Amino acid sequence: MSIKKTLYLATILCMSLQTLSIGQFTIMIDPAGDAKHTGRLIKDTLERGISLQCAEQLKATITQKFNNVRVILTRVPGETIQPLQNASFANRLGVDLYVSLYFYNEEQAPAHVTLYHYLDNPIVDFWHQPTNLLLYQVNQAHLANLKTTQKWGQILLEVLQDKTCSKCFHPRGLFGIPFTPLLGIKAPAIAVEVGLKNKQDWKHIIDPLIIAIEKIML
Amino acid sequence: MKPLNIVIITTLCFITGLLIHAYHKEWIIILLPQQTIDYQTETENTDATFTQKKIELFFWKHEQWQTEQNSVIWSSDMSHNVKTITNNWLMLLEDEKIIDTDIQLSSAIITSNKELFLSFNKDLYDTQDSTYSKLLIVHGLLKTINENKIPVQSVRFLVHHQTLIDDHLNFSISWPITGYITKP
Repeated sequence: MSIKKTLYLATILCMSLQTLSIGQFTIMIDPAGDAKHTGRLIKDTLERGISLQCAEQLKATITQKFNNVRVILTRVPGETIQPLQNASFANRLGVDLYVSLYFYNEEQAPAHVTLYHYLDNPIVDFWHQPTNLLLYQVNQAHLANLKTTQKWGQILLEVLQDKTCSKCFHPRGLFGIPFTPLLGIKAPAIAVEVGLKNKQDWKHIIDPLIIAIEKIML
Repeated sequence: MKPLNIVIITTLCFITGLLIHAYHKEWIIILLPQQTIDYQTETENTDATFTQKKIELFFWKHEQWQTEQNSVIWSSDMSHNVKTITNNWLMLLEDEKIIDTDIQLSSAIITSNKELFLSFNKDLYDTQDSTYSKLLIVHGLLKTINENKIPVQSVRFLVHHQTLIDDHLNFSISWPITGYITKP
């Protein structure tokens, strides 16, 4: 096959894929840890295992419930993630929402859940007016969608505060901090850090997250 | 020219050359009387600025900010004051069992653009802690430095003079002295 024909077919294929993805909402879920980084110890289990289980369960539930949502996990078991690899992956795919999942051991009941989004400067960042034709540094990528991130983070927080949706957790709030795993992500990116008294308690965070995602898409 | 004159001139040139060489190699140090006086005055001035002062130390416990007052020797050298405040704060947190023992501030430097560099001998917190707990420990130190009127705008956290590496918090950037959390 000639080079011209190959290029033509590749262009057609890309355009078809783009057409198919119109109207689709893409969520990237990032479970904490990887093959190299085990994360924190929760009872006799590692954070990376629990976060992956939770991410897989979340993906299965979202895919089953919503037809127009595409869910991508940042890693598979045994994979090692390089710094900024997830950010690059999310930015190239142009995801609509990025959710990072973290777990730690907490003896207190009800356990706490805390939400974070990336912030470099707590004052100046909010003055920024996003411009499309601008080169952003890696530590400024979050500025492109900062207002949406805060709005969606607030929706998630309200769901967690609602006792009818979330019975097992006590939300601490939504905080803008320099949260390293969210560095360089252009899409609205929220990290959810959940305290677990028992290692099976992660299951209780699935329903509030699904309700929040549904509200965000509306 | 007589041979005696040649010998004298050669000897003089040799001695002059030797003295210049010794001066360049700093075997001979020439100190002007003014410099000596300045040095003494400076020493006297530094001695005169040591005073006793009460400082406030902040830490997060039982879901609220706790304050404790300590008396310290306050100097005109702000880096020295930062070191005193931070080590007092670390001792308090050790007593309250919030942080691990034997954490000490190795050095503190304030740059001309009001950026403070703090270098510790080990991580400030346990790696098993939640991000929220770690954030509040860091915020407690920032609050303590800020409330004690240390003239700095931002703080960089180091361990053994290298950037503090954490899985969740980004310490490669300078942290504003007011911190990131307005509430609590």
